[in-house]
Amino acid sequence: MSIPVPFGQYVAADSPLHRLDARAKLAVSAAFAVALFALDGWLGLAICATAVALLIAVSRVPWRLALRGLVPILWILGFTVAINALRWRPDEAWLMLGPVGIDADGLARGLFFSARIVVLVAGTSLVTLTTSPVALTDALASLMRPLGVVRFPVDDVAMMLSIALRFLPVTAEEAERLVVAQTARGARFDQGGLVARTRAWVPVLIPLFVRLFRRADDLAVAMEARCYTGIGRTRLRVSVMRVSDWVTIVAGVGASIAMGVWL
Amino acid sequence: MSLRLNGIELTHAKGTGFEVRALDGVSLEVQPGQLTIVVGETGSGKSTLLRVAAGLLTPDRGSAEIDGSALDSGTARGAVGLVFQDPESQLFADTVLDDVMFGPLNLGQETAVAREAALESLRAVGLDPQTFGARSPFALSGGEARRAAIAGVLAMSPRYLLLDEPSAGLDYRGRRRLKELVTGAKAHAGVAVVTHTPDELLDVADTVVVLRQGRVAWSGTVEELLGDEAARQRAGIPLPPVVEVQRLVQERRGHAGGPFVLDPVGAADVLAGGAR
Amino acid sequence: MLEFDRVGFSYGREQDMRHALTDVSLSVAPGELVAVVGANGSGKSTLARLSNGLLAADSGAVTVDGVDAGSHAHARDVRTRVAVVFQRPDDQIVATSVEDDVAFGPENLGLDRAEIRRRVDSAIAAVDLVGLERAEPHLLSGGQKQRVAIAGALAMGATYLVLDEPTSMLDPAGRREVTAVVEALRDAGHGVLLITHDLAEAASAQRVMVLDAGAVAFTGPIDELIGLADERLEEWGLELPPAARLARALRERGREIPVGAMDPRDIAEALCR
Repeated sequence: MSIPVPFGQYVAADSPLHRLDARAKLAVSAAFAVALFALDGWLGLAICATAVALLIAVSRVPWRLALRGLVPILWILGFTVAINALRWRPDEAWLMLGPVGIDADGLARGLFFSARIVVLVAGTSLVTLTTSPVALTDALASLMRPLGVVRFPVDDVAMMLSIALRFLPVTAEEAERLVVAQTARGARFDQGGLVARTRAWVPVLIPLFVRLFRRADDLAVAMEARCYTGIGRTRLRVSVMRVSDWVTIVAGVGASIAMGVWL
Repeated sequence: MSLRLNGIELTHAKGTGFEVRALDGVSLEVQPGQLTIVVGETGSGKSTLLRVAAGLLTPDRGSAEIDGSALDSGTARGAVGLVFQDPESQLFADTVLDDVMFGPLNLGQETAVAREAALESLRAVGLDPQTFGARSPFALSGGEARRAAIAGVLAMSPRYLLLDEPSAGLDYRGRRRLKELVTGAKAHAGVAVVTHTPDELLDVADTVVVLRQGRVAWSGTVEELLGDEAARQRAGIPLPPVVEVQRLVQERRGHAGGPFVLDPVGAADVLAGGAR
Repeated sequence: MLEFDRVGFSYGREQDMRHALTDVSLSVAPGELVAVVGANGSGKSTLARLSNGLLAADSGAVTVDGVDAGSHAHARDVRTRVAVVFQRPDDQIVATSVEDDVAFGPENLGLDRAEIRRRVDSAIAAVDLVGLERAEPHLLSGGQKQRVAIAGALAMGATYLVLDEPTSMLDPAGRREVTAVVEALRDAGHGVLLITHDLAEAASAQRVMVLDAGAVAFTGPIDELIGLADERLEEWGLELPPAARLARALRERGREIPVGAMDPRDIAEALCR
């Protein structure tokens, strides 16, 4: 049963953002994240938010999918506002709700911090939305290359990441099949307290891990049969940084620095 | 009294833009004491059909009944046994006996009762409890592990037994053992086997259902399948080689001929008339 | 020539020793399809792993075009001459796209990009997967995945292909696809060693060898094997395909059906002559 579910967050489309080299996107989003936390006030935040909104539009990713990453963190947003705005039995407050008081400045601060998180998440998830997992791992491997100087096994790590990616959908399917198979044998995953529920997963996790280890063995043999040694590998496709990528880096990082310093 | 699915429709991943219509109006009936073969290749919807029949998935449309009551995860539990493809991959316990007891224990049986059931089903699949009971399931060979997994389902004494590609990857000995197992299971349950190689089970099967792209392309008894050439061709089911030879000969000789024989020696008698 | 000369191999040590292969001799020349058949546990898979040095023989020798397959020093050379394809297609595919996986072998060999490209394109064409270069492996059918594995083996530049039960996990459609590719490769000049438990698959082989508990029980053309008594085949865990049994029963009844005929059309034709 192979249903083509979109892998991770990547949404395939053709846009200027999709065409940028992954390394450029990673660099700019890193600078952007730093700049966000150097901002002083609402003006800077508003500019960043507008920039992110424009980029989302340019990326041709549907808004629903672009903002999907915000759903899991809604509770963090609420918590941030609450912890900044609420006071227990304060001497004075802008608004009182029983023993809890809402402080105007605190509320403003909380909203600012929350808004910043929203912009951060929306902005950085643009990277994973417009970059295929393969391109991402290749970019990470490329960026790790300097570590080769200190004998860090860059190629091996890159290979591991790539293999992990390749088997994620397969493993997910196998896990699902195990859950169904054990359910068919009367297993219950939704009953009892924490201990019982954790134990319910043993009949799924053990076979899954055994399968993974056996697969690792078989895969190692198959890789050895094709002369994998980890060293001396060339690559079929190499991603080359183009002018547009460099321009993007310079513009993106430059703008981030400018904003961080002046706003 | 049967396991009956009527007009089942089911679409996966609805609303995500990656919808897949797995079943589009499928009906199936499994009768106690009978063997139904469901013929379908990958993508025909067979896995989904099995899950619906085991009460694990709720169809969007259509009805599912077991012995007169509505079929759902509650009524199916313990009554419908499902053996997946590569069932040996679901073994997890410390010993084979523990693993086979897993099902009965989950159904609330007492340890002594579950143990008895486990011992009996191990014997039924040809795994001597003295030799295999205390072994780790991961120390079994592929064929042994598969039988242990099937024993795990049989131990729950299901009234209906569903098997998905049970002979995939087995060699001749393994397939022969499996055929004996399936034939033996008929005595205690209604059995449905999903397979893409139905030939070897045709002589012990009662009904055949052909699934293609979520729909039933043909269904009926084995005799009907072998007898109705037009329907068979429409459904695109290849005849077993032995039967195909008889059909070709009848075609060339120009007579409609009698019923086809599945067994090679019997077919030779029909084609050449008695041994010299 | 891929050659096994009185090869023996055992797993484990001393009391635990399991003799997987005893005194096995076999050869495969370019352009030949040789089948090794036997029940599960007969030692067939061990043979596959000895062919390219994944395992080293305990006794006897395995050579590829004269090079010792078991030698560590020559491992790389050997693996560019003999490529092995295993039973589970999923557990051989390493990359996230067909093209990248076929390129894996050449990349390991350190070839330049133009050469890698050439080999990848040629291998993908040879297994009839043109158009699926960028496809993700987990969305492919079993037959397609296995063909990707074969393409990966071809891209190594190997003359000899050892296929260890390549179709046992596939559905009939997948089986047909892979069998067609294997025969085409044999016709193109590769030497193919096909390991299987299914006699019907050995139908187009030049020679068949039967392994029983690690020892050679029979070597010869498939016609001869089919001519043997059922009891002997049973002993070896083998079964004559139903069509072949029909042909034999017809011969016993005085009809002239050529030994080795397994296709219904051939049998029907012989009957009606």
